[in-house]
Amino acid sequence: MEARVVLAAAASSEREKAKATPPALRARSRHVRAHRSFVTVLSGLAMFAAFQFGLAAVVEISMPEIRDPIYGRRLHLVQNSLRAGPSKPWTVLMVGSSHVEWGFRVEKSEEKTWSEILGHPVATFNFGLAGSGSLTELLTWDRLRRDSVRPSLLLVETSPALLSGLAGDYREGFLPTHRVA
Amino acid sequence: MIFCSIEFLVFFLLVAAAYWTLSSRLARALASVASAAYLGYVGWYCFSIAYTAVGWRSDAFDAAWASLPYNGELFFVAAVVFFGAGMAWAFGPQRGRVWLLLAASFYFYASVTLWLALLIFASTILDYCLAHGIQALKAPAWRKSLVAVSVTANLGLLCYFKYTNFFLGSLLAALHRCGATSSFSLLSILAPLGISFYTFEAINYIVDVYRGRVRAEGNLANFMLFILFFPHLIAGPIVRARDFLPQIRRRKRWDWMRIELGARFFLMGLFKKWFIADRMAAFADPVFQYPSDYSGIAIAMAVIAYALEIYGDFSGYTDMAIGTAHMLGFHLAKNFDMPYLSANVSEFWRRWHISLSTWLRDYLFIPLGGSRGGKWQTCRNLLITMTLGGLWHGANWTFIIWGLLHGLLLIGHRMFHGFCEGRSLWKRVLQSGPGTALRVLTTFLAVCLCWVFFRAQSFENATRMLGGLVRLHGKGSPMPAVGLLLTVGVVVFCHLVARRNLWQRVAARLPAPVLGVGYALVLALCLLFAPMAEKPFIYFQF
Repeated sequence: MEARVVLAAAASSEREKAKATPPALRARSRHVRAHRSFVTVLSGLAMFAAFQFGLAAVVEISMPEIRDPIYGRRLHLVQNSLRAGPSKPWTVLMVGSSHVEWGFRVEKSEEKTWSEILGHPVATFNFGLAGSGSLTELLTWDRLRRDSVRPSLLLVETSPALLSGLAGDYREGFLPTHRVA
Repeated sequence: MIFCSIEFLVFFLLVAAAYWTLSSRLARALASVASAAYLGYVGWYCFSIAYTAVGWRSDAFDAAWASLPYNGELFFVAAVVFFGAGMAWAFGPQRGRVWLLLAASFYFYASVTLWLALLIFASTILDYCLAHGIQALKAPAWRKSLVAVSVTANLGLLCYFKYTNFFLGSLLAALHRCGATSSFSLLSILAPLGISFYTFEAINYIVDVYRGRVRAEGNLANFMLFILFFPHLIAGPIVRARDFLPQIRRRKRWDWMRIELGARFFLMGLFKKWFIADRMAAFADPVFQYPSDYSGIAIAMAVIAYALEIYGDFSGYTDMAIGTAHMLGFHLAKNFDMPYLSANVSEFWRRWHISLSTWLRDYLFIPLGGSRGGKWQTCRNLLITMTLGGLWHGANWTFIIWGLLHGLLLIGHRMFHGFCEGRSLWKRVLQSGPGTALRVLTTFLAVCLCWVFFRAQSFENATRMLGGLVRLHGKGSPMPAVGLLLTVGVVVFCHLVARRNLWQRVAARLPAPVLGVGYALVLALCLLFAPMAEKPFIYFQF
C-alpha cells in the first residue's frame, strides 16, 4: 500500500514537472531525440550496407566456397585427399543429380567395390547436387578442373530423359546463379 | 508473403515510401508517374510478347509474366501505389493514405488466394452495415437480432472453413468405431489465412457497438482498414476497434523516433524467429514426428525446444507486426510480456497472447458469468473458456485437450490460491526468492507438458511423447545439446536484461551511431542464422 502511494506521488510529480517545462524546451528535447533516432537509423543502415559489401568482398576474394557451401565443403575434402602426398589413394569422383547424392554410397564403395576393382586404395567423392542435369554436371566438372582437381576416375550420371528432352524444358531454376562461381 | 522474406521487404519499402510521401505534391506526382510508367511498361512488354504475328498466345504471356522481377509482384505493388496516389489527388493525402493501406492490405492477402480475400471483403461490408443497423435501431430485440446475425455469420464462416472437416472426420471415426459405414467423405476446403483473428476482431467491434462502447464507424474504408490492416491481419495481435479506429482518423506525421522504434521491434522479431524459433525447430520436429525412436532425454529436450520455438515464432511475428505498424504510424497492443517468467498459470495467460486472453475474458468468460457466481460456476466458466480457446487454435482434438488442460491448471491454481489465503507461512515461503523461482519453474514445466498436446499431430503421438519421457534407451537428440543450451542461455539473458530494464538504461547512454551499428550487427547475425528454406510461422495455420 505504502509503495503504491509512493509510486503515485512520483508519477504525479513527473506530470507536474512535464507541465512546468516550457513548450519550447519540450519541443527542443523532442527535436534532439528525433535527431538521435535519425542518426541511429541511418548509421545502422550504412553499417549494414558496409557489412554486406565487406562480406561480399571477402567471399569473392578469399572464401569463394561460402557462395556454394555444398560444393565448397566437398571440394575441401577432395583437395585434402589430393594433398596427401605420394601414398595418396586414387581418387574416384562422381558428378550427377540427387540420385547420385543419395544413391552413391561413398563409404561402401571404398570398403568393397572400388579398392577391389582397381587393386589400389581408393578415396571416393560424391558430387551429386540436387536438381542437376547435364549442364550442371558440366559446370561442376569445369569448376573442379579450375580448382585443380584431377581425379583418377570420373563417373558421370546420365539421365536419358534429359538427353531426349522428355524431362521438359531446361529452366533457369535448374541452374542457381550461386553455382556459377 | 511472410514478414521475413525479400518479397515483403520490397512490398513494404515501396508502400511505406508512397505512404509517407503522399502529403507532398511533388512526391505524389513522381509516385503517380513512376508507377503508371511501370504499369504501362509491364503491360506493353507482356502483351507485345503474347501478341505475336500469329496472334494471341496465352503461354507466351505467362512466360513473359513469369520473367518479371519477383514474379510480377512489383506490378501489383505499382498498381497499389498508383491507386493510393490517385485517391490522394482526389480526396487529399490523409484519405489517400487510408486507401493506399487498404489496397496494400488487400493485395497482401490476395497474394495468397484472391477469392478468399474477396470473401473477407464481403463479410467486412456485412459487419459494417449491421453495426450501423445496431446503432440506428432503438428496440433491444432488433438490436440483439442484428448482433446474432453478425456473430452467426462470422462464426459460421469460421466453422465452415476451419471446423467442417474436423467435425466430419470425428463423425466418420465414431461411425467407423461403431462398425458402421458411411458414403460421405471429407470436403476439399481451403481455410482463409488468419480467419480466426479477423473473426474475433469483427465480433469485438459488433459487440462493442451493441454495448455502446464504440460508435459504428461511418467511413467504410476506415472500418475495412481496421479489419484488413496487413501487419495484424494474418496472425494478430487481435486489435480492438476502440484502440484502432481513432488511430486511423488521426493525422499521421513522419517521426524518426517511431521509425527507430518500429525498426527495433522488427529486428527483435526477426531475431526471435530466425535465431530462436527456426533453430529450435530442428530439435523438436524430428522427435515429435517419431517419438517412439527417441530416449527420454531427447524427448525432454524436444519439449523444451518446442516451448522456445513457439514463443520465438509467435512473439517474433507479433514484434514484426508491431514494428511494421509503428513504421506506418500505428500502435498495436503488446501481445507478449515474458510469459515464461510467470509464477503461476493465471499470470502466464496474462502474459501470453495477451490480445487473445483478454478477448476470451471480455467476450466469453465474463458473459458466461465470470467469477461472479459460486466456486463451481467459476470452474465451469474457466473450463468452457479455455476449451473453446483451445479449439480456436486448431481443428484437432489435441488443441481441445490442450485448452482443457490449461483450464484445469487455472482451476488448480485458483484452489491452491484459496488454500494459501489463510496461511501466512505458505504465502511467505512461496513469495520468497527461492519460492518464486520454484513457482516459475513449476509453471514453466506445466506449460511445457501442455505444449506436447499442442504440437503433436495426434493424441496418440502426444501420449507417446509423454510416455517416452521416462524411456532410458533410444536415439539421442537430433541436434547437439550445446545448441539448445546456448539458446536457453541467450533467452534467459535477454529476459533478465528486459526484466531489469537494463536495455533502456544502456541504450539511452550509448551514442546514436554506436546504437545503429549494434542494430546492424543484430541484423547481420539474424541473416547468418537464417534457415536455408523459408519456414512459415506456426500461427499462420490458426
